[in-house]
Amino acid sequence: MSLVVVDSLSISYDQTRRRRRPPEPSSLTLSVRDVSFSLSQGQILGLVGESGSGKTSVARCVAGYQRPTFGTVHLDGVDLAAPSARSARRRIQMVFQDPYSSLNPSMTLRQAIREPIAVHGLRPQGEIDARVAELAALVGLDELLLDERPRQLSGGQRQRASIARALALEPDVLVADEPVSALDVSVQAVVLNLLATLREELGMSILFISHDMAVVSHLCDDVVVMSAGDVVEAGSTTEVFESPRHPYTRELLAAVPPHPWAARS
Amino acid sequence: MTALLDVEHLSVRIPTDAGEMVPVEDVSVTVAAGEIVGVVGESGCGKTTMLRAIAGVPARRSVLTGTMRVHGVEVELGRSAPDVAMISQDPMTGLNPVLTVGEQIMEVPRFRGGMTKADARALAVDLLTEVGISDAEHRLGYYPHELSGGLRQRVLIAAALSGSPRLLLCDEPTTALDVTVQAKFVRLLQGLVEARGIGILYVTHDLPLLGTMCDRINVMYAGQVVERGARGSVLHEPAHPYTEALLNAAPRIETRVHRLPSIAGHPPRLLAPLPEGCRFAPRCSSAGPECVTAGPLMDGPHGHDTSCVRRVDVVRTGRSAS
Repeated sequence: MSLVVVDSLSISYDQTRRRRRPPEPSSLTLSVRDVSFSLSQGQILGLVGESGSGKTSVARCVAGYQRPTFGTVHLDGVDLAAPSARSARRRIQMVFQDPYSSLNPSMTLRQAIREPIAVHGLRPQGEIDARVAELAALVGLDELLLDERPRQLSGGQRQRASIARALALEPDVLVADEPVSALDVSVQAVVLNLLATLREELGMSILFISHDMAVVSHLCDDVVVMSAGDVVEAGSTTEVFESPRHPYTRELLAAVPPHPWAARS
Repeated sequence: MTALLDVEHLSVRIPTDAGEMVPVEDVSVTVAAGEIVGVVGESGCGKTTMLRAIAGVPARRSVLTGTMRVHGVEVELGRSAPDVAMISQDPMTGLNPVLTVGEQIMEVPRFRGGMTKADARALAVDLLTEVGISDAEHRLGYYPHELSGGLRQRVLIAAALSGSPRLLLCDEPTTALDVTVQAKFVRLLQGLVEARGIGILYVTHDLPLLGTMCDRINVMYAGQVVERGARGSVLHEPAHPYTEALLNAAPRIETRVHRLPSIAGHPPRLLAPLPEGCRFAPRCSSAGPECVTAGPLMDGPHGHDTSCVRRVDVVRTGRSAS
């Protein structure tokens, strides 16, 4: 069964005055047009496209950071835009692209990870520290690093801390917006392996946004390709990568520098 | 034949509160005319510091040692050499936001080349056309914010070419660009090398990308070049475990693996005194006791050099290293 259902999602950034009736779709410039897909438990879905394709806007709607102009996002049958959906929204957490700017520089990692647990009252005061340690272990972050501030850490360590912070709210779904594009290849490998482990061990569902086709083909089960606000192709990763139907998908794949060992396999 | 660029034993030292930092140590690199030479390494390996030292815009307070020759003529380190131009990493910040594209391209020819405004303008139009910008005349009046990332990167190249350099230094010019734009950009650079016979020194962390464009590749780790050679030999028969680990860690479209082999640990901080021997050894899965004796690059066949004491014999006897 599908955990997240995105149905005919459209997004417009037009400045609109308060209206009595909802605006006509035809009168607006749509940055995202009629996007539908679903994500089931334990699935990793890749959302690919180039800058300006609307993939981050879609991700932000799914994570509840903005409301769709038209269409809906449902989690377990609950419309995320409904006022009563507060507790449902917590079940979807986001990991951002840049671990250098998405963590508060003045907080130690321990403070950063404990904050959401305390704010949401997920654990009694006395148990929070144990929970932070547990999360750090889960993402492979050395406990000694918990009292450091982000500036003392490498990109990979920071990104693990951001993931631990997202996991602190015990979400069912992670929305990861280009989580490895700011990282070196060796560190990128560590974070990708971590995401795969989270899926295996916790049954986490992941919406993985990326422009890197090699990374997507490695990690994702299924893939949705966006171009200029439209979904141009969707299907299983094997299907899309082996026999791309849309010319844009083919163009994207052709532009990826082949791995030097490609001919070997 | 004299190389276009010949840098020997370049070291960069920066005094800091915590002690002396050595981001670049004893690096030698050459570029011939008509050649694209790549330098690959991860963040903090000193590749940008090296490139800036060569460009004559070294990091503040840094002390440079070594020699550098352009066209066989010795150039004082830390001074910008004629015939050398650099393109920086970020097309979003590499251009001045309050000057038009035309003003920025015409700056060097007018104020350094002594051209008249009209001549400089004609040159700017030619350059924009050469880098593949249509309607160049009209675009001269654009401000950087009116252009996309790919177009801005092209403007940066046009500006770099305005002094007719023989050598172009590129510092990750495609990291901020989409893959399709990156592919076009690489073709543009290759075209420039062919048409103008210039040489390019290209610094990046993307090893597969270098595989599509470079003639020779240098691999940098912790401030040193640990392997260098022709593109094919470095990529297909890596003679240093670090190069091999980098290639292994990169995901591949054609084959899916369960887990990517990552590199354990992290690079050393480049504070003097650095430990003896191979700097990669603490993270290397095939390290042995002899690794503490590892020194600078050792010559291999066909200019394929490695600093790995455990691999050098394999390379010399010509067997595949992997």
